[in-house]
Amino acid sequence: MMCDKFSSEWLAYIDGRASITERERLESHSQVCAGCQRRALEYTQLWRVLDESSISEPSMGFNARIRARVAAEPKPHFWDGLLPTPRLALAMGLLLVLSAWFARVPVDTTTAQSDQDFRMIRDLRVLENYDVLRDFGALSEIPAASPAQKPATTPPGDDQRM
Amino acid sequence: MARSDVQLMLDVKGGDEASFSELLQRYRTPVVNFLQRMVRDRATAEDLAQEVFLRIYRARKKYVPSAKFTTWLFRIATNLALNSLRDGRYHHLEVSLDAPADENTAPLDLPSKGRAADERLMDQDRSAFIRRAIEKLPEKQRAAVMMHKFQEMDYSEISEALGCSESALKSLLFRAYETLRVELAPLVGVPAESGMGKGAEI
Repeated sequence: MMCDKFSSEWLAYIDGRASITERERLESHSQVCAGCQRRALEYTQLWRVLDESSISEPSMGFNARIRARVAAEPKPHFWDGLLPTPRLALAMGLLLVLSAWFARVPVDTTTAQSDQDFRMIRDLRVLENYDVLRDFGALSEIPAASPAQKPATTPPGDDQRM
Repeated sequence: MARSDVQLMLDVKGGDEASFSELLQRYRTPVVNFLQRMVRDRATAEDLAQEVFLRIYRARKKYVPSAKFTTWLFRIATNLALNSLRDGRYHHLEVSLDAPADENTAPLDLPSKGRAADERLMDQDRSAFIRRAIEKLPEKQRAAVMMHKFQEMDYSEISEALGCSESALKSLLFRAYETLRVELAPLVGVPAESGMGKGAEI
């Protein structure tokens, strides 16, 4: 029976990756432990035996078949590098959707209206003129025009009223 | 001086088809043998190996040398082999101790008490016996042993290829070698016993 405390260290011993210290420790332990000594011999032998496992070469047409399949692969085009990767395409798509969504959100028009009113108030001269022109009653204060001042093209209806 | 795998792959990425042929030549035998042990069928192994190299070729433009080339190569091979086995298409190929593994080998002669080990081994092909012992291992143990013993890959590489931690891998390998030690007892020189971890898989 192999000692449990060394069981995990045998792998490195088998494959030759154990350090010299580890190897010496296992070997010195094996000299006083019959079970581990036997196991060490078995593993060493097993490692050699596995090397006898047959290696078979691929069939004659293996390379030719691979080359034929490679030749059948679509050749890359110069614009392939310009095409976005799936992640980039997804990011761009999401950005587009978000842009479209934001564009459809109704704009607050009250702010724009306030700005327009403010601009109108700021230009007082325009307001003054507007008030004067709107009050058409002021025109009644203008004295009636004398016949001499009448334009020559007064319509016939106007003469009868005077 | 031979170019490294990474350099070859970078050259393939740059459009050098000859570098791909060199990689193919370098790894076709290890990959086919690895897959043959995994799926236990020569023709299927070659088909899958073709797929492995084709995937390497298709991925050349996106290749980034972040890991060793062999890690990437055997990760693809392992995934393809495990997928094929799980597909169920190759269940009929499950190795049997009573049936020959292929048409070129004789039925496996199980160790019997009545015959001496030397006499038994004289009657059978040692290589086939060893191969079948490996093929009897559970899938993951088999893959781990193939990469550890025959490709001499580091623990970190194998654990990355198999998608497990290094400690889990070491446990996996230890169980696999324990099973092999028992299965190959006639060759190793000790009588077979019901060893620990036999056939177990993490």
